[in-house]
Amino acid sequence: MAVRRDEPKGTEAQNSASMPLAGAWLGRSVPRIGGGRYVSGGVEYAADLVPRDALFLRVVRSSLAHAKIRSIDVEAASRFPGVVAVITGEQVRQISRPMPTRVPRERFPGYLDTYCLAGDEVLYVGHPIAAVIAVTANDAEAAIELVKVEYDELPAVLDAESGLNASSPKARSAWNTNLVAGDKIRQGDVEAAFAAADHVVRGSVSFAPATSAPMEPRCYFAEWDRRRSKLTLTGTMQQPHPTRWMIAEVMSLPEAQVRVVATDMGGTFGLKMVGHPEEALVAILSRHLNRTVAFVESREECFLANAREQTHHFELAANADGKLMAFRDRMVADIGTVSAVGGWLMAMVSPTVIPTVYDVPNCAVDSFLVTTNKPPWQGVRGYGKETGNLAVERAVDLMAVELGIDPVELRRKNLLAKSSFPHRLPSGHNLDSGDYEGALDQLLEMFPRARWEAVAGNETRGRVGVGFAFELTPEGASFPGSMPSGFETSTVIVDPTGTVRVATSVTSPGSGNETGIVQLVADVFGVHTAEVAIAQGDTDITPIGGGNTSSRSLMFGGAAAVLAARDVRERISTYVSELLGVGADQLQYVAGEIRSGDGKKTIPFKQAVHTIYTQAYSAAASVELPLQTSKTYRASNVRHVPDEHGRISSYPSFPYSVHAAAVEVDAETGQVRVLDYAAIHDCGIVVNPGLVEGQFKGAIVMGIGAALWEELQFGQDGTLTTNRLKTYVLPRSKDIPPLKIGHRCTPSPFHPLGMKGAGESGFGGAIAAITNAVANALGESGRSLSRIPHRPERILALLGGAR
Amino acid sequence: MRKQKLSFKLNGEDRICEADSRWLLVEAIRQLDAAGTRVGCLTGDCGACTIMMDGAPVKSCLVLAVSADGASLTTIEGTSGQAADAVKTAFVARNGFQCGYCTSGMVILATEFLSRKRDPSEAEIREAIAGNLCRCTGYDDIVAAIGDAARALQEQHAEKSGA
Amino acid sequence: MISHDFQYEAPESFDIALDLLSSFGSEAAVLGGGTWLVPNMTYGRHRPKVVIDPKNLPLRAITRSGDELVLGSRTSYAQVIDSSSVADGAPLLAKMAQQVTGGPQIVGQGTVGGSACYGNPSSDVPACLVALGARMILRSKDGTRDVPASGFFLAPFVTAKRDDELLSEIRFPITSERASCAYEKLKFSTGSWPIVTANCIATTSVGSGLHLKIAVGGANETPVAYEVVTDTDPSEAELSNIAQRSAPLIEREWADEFAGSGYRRSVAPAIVRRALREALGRDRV
Repeated sequence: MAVRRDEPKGTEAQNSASMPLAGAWLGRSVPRIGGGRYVSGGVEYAADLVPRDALFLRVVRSSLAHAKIRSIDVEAASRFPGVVAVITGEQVRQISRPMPTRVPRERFPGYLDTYCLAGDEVLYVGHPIAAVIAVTANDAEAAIELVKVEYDELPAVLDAESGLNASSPKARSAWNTNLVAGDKIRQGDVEAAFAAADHVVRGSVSFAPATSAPMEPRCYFAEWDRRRSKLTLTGTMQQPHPTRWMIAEVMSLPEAQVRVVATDMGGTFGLKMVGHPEEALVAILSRHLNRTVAFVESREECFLANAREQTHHFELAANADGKLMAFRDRMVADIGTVSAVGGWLMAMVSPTVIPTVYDVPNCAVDSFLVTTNKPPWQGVRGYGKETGNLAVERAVDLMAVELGIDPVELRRKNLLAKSSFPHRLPSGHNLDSGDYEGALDQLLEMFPRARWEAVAGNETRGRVGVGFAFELTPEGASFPGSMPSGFETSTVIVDPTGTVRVATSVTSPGSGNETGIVQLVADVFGVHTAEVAIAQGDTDITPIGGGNTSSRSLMFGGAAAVLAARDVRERISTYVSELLGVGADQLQYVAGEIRSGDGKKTIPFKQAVHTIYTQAYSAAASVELPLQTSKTYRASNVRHVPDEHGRISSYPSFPYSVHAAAVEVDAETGQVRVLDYAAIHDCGIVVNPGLVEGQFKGAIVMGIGAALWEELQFGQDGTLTTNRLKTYVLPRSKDIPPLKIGHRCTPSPFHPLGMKGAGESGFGGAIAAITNAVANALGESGRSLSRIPHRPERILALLGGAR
Repeated sequence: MRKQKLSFKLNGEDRICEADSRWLLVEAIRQLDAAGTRVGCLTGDCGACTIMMDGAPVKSCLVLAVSADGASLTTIEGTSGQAADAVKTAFVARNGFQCGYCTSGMVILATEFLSRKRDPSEAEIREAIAGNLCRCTGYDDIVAAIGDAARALQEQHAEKSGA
Repeated sequence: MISHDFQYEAPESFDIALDLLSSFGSEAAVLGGGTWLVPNMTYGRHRPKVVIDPKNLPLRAITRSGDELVLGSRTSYAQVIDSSSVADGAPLLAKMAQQVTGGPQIVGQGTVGGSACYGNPSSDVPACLVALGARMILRSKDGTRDVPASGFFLAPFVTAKRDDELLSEIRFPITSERASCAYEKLKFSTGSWPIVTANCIATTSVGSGLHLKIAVGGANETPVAYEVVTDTDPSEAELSNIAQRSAPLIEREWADEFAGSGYRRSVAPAIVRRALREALGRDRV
């Protein structure tokens, strides 16, 4: 629960009051609800809520990438002043069960140990081996060093390609392969198309590992109530219900005995999805010790969240007139250690976007997900879509160079037409709607291409380049078998005084979707947003759903809230239509009143509600009580039953964006500077443009960071060497030019409100636009540009001696 | 673990802190019910721990609590006044935050900056916050909010002197 | 958070401070601005038994003493930027301070002396001090000695300061009025530490042409410096030549997460050339 701090005088009241009461909230950039808390330090994040009497847990982590644990000596650590307990994997196996996996266990090549501490084998540097619990975090941290672990080192697999060889050591001793999963997508006849094509280009894009790095690291604390045998887990969690289910499994408790409270989060970008060992650890240990146990992740630990290390080797075939005919992609992903977290599934998503926004009749994608002795993948923004998008965008640009055609015109020539929707991708995804060419035209009006290309023509120290890219961003992921399976639920309650409460299964990463949901519900009842309260993230209060992932919160949670609100409104309408002598479907809910169609008869909303509550046996006897409903939104356009090609589709909606970037490459140092940036975004119907634009800009800047600077580096021994913000460098205010943003709206025909979901799109498009711009700046040597990020020494090497 | 009694003037109030002698200043502050100062990295990179100490903005994770004994500290909870109000109003109106984790630091810096600087250019604003990370907004809206606040302050000053 | 116990001392006099250093030697650490010592303690990379906080000692003054500019070792970058004495007497120092990374907080918290004592190859201060011909004044119980900056930086994170010594001042010869200077820094983005820095002081003298003092930081384990005398108005080709001479001086090239071996040596001449051109007031190309 947030403690209200003093609002700055007039801030929020002023902003709310300035919103006219009449008219819809939909489409308005209403300022964030409770915005005053944010600017006065009033938001309580998980670390602010840790009870004073909590014990602190720090984790002993493996210093080797692959080894058997011969022994763990906890004697000295246990005796360290302030230490309450030291727990090893052996004890964990006595007092808990394994964490559930994101996909059924049968899908893995062998037994997958998912206890929250390592058993007899460590699989990556950083793998949790033991837990030290002490009165202060400082003491727990000091005691960690006293835990003596002896290892028998095993060969480590640190490269995916070699890990695929049959003769390679195995990253996990119990398995006889390092190949975990893969996909094979086929459409048309790729062999024939390549054979017949006039032009073929080949290339690759290879992503260095990267991470989400939100400003707030993870934090959890567990409180065991012995009297009631109830466990409450509070902290940074995007998915309260899946987490509750997970904890119940691990602790052999009925779900009703587990409460999960997701706190306000300082960003997540996928990091705080369910399945981290520390979530289970604090819970188990709280019961074991009968104390509140807290874990506050350090920034150093936060960098163990690995992701995105994968390579696409692609080929694109086209006819002489520029019609794209075939696309082939061989993708290999280094998914690190497989664990209870579902981050590795991102590599299954990457191939499904092919061939994105273009009409390419023949496609073949083969993907290989290889486990190595690196840390597990955690969710990151983009969730795999950004890599497939980059492969396609690089291929298109290479083809443009090959054909001597303007890369914009080559794109235009091959974009799916507005009339071609719904359109089935080779992966089975059913694209809902889009106006790709319209977006491209809109972008070209906003971006001064000619000016930059004129500058590029001049001989200067810097080489200026311009790049374009589309991004297709499937959203609303609803994977089969996931717990729960991709739906969201909202409850709407109208209280006797006529205020409205919403409780929803979705949470917020800090993006403001709670404000959007309030707007939607306020519209249904025709009341001011100040009359609507919203609760998220508490499994004792909020209904069951998946939580926040895949930009679903407003799209799914909001839709569910609207369905529930409409249901309650219908009940209210029963009474009012009788009262006013008007058909229920003629009633208008607006400006705090319920009106007849001609506006001549009205009753205040609050008065109607009051009557329903107090005259339930007389005037309002026909009303079906209560004024409270829960509704689930299950997306249409999701197909879990395989089609004739054996494909399913787990994504219902397809926002997209198109980007243009101008960069300058310093030919003497290889450094890249972003000079200008423009992008158009289409996520269908927008509830709160300010919030959507904010997300889009944030995603773009994150993409620029991924394209130019962000890279996790592992030493020869598998140790992460970039474990601080000085070496894993994020974009700062001076690194980015002002962003020119525009919007387009092609509503989704599959969503009741036409929404498609926002939050990720921008990220992949930025990586691709920047990459294409850098390649353009490099000229001929840009053809071999393949590795992300574009480190100056790589750029310099590409430039070679050519100065 | 050793305890040490430290005294600070925190947001104008005399406070005693029973500190672990190993604490960083940000940790001591957070123990004094001023949790609006955030921990993002503890290496002085992200700026979420920014406070005003003896009149200057500092990253409080780089200060040993013991070395700040006797200092005068202003955290986000005590950041008030004309410039602060203009900044906070602008941040809310302009979506100068999303998750809010960096916001305490940004507001403190912006307030200090606008107390000194009347008519900042966009480049100067970006320079002023270059030591603070935001992972959500991409900075545009933060910069725009600070610009709005600067203009609002200009108008307020103009009204005062004009009238 | 810091997990190891340490003793904290804030001596009120030099004698007490030097006594402590004499007793504890390598087990003590002197707190400058805290910008590197504190995070190193937080992450357990540095575990001094005693932390000596010189905040009560007069180490923050900037004064002019004869033909020297004297900087207390705990002078902050902000003080350097605001100081008219520095602007007049050692403008290169101010130029360097203006480009320090980390926002107004770090500019106010970081100290020139603290950075010097850390001896981090990837930092702004060491090469700048070498370029300026600074003298490091080191005090101990045994007395005071001074070490020229050119001999102070011995290896990465290793300086000539003994464990029982305190850096009390840094002294600079006053930069000639006929000198112009430039500080050029290559870093890959705002948040990156310096990759290569180039300090240039260009002094014209009647009849003797142009004297160039150049010092390069970030590229080598320790700063490299050289001097050149050339024509008063050197051609671009000549400047490139002069800049190129920096490369072979980088004998122990520095490499890190930002760029591996080979990179710094290959780009250093370009950065030096930019500094030269800037010092000579030529338009940036």
